[in-house]
Amino acid sequence: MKFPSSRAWRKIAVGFLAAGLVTSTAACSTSSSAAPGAPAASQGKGTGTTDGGGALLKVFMPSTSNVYLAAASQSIKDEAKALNYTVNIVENNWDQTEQDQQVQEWLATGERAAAVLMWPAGAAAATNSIRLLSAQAPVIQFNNLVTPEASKYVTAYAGVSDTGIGKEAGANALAAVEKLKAEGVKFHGPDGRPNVVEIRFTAGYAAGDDREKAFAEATPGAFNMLAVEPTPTVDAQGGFKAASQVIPRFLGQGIDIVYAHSNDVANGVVQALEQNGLKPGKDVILITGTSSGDMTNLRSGKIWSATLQSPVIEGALVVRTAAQYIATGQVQSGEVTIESSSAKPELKVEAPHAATYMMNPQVTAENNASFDIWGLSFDKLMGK
Amino acid sequence: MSSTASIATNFIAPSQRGSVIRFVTSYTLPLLVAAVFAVAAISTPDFATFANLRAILINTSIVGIIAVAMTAITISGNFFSLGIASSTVLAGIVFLAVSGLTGSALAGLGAAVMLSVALGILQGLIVGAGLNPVITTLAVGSVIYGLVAITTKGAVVTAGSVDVAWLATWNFLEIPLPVYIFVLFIAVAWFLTEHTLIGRNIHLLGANRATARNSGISPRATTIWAFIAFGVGLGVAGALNASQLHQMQANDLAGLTMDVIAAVLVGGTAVSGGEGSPTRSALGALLIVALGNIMLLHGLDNGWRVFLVGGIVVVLVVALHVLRKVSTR
Repeated sequence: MKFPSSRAWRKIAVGFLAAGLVTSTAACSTSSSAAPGAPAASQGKGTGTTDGGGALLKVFMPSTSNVYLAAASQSIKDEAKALNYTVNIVENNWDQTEQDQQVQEWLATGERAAAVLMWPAGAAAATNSIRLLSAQAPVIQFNNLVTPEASKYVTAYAGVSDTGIGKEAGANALAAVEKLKAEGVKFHGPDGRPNVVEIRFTAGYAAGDDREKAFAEATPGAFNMLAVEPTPTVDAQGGFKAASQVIPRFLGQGIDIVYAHSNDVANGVVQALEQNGLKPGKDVILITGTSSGDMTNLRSGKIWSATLQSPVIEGALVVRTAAQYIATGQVQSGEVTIESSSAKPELKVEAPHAATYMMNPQVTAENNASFDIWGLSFDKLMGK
Repeated sequence: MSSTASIATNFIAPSQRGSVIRFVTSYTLPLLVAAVFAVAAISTPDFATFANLRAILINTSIVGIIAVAMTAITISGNFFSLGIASSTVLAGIVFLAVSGLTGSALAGLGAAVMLSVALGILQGLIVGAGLNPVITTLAVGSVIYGLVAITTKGAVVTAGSVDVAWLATWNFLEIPLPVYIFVLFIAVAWFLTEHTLIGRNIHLLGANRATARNSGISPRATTIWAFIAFGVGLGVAGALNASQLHQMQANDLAGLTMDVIAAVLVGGTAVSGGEGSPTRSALGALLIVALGNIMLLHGLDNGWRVFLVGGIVVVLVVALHVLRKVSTR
């Protein structure tokens, strides 16, 4: 009987060690995915239920010092509770650098989450954080559209569609023009087309780019665009600053329509129009995007229409999308815009789309009191 | 004989040169503003229309009021307040809330001014005790922002059904009230800064703190007076802003602090203190708005406008600084 030589023993020992290492690594991997709050779904393998079983949804988003974010944050908590998920929200002060730091700190804690819900403070600069997070858990992005650079790290998008808002605002503007034409109103532009001034979100702000482009595409050749003026800040004061300078410039030519990217910005435009002797709602039609800010001017008819962008829907939608992904471990290709139904749709165990957008119905002085989406009034939809 | 004359000439020459430079430093901005308006009136279509000039004045008024009010702080050697935006938002929210509760915009205005003055006194006490004014105002601004955000939960604050808009829209000769308040503010600030004991103390404190103290001037009391003036400006500006838009929320007025600082710097107030004038700060605010307006009328894109206005501000501030240095040699 021959015993293996010492060299052969060494080979056998190394072989056992290597096998042990592989086995222990696999065991670690198995135990981590089974740990509480660990990613419950990998690509193609889901839990089979939308019940979270107490697993963690980690949320990174800007400060809730803004009413929209406060309402979205509350909606995330409510929806997560309903689906039996635990939520932990980390806020930043609209600062991507701060958010990057928060992501690094969280990753360093070793805490595991079933999914990360990410509202980037600045989507264009958030790719690295999203990449790092995606190695830990599926990333569901919301509010800021996914950039091409980040697309391979984001599992799915759920939330607002700036393109949808721009399109809806364009359709609202066309409808307003048709209505006024039928009433015999003559417009100031060449060939009887309305003269339009656009007060858009701050230059370089992606949401503003999308809304401007979508509005133009929804109204091809219908308007004589006098100017597209960006606001210095995305609020009523910014709207006032921009409009109060640009309106006097075109008073002589006649302004028929002002398209502002949000109701909040439009509140500033109303003041600027009035200070220049124009009556919004009568002399000038004010079409707006997001239904944010004080609604007094919309309810009084000074603002013709806004476009619903509900933080309550957005908060619920991102949690539901995460729950669907965790349940199925899959994403359907393509994008979908959810319908405006009076009843909240039942959450099915089916793969979410790569992009799920909120509905963007028109809001006017006439219809805002009778809003009923997911059983919520307009004020409730806006988190008031 | 000739050597004596030469010495005399050498002795007098710097003084004369200093006078000339001081004259240039004092009148550069008014002359520049006048020149800009004159050239723009000739070369820029629609610039000299009543509606456009009114728009310039309206846009200048709120930033201008705060810039005029803050000039006393800068002259006194306490640099700037970095809590302008949050303090103005707080004043606006108090104005709306009190107006809504009492049904009177004037009551709201009074409450906003009183609270802003109280915060001014608090900051004046801290800075007067020797703490860094930049850090103090930044910290107080952060505290105010946090409190406003927590209290309002980010919601839009309004005065409900109470009419507060008249404060911003009431007009005489089609010029709205904020513009008249701005002019009144300049006149009062100019008088207080240039023709009263407190004004002279503020100048001296900024020029030389040690000398001021040796002369019996209390740095703390003088600093508090400067911050009181600033508080009045913030209260009035916050109320006017809120009445203009009928609403206010925690995140509003993000760019206001930088606008005000730019106006004070363009106005030629020395960052180190001792020299400056509220009138020139008002002109600084007017110049910045007018330049932006002219570029807008010429159809320049927003990026170019921001770039060029920023560039002009830098050139002006550097030029005024150099002139001041030369005049004090």
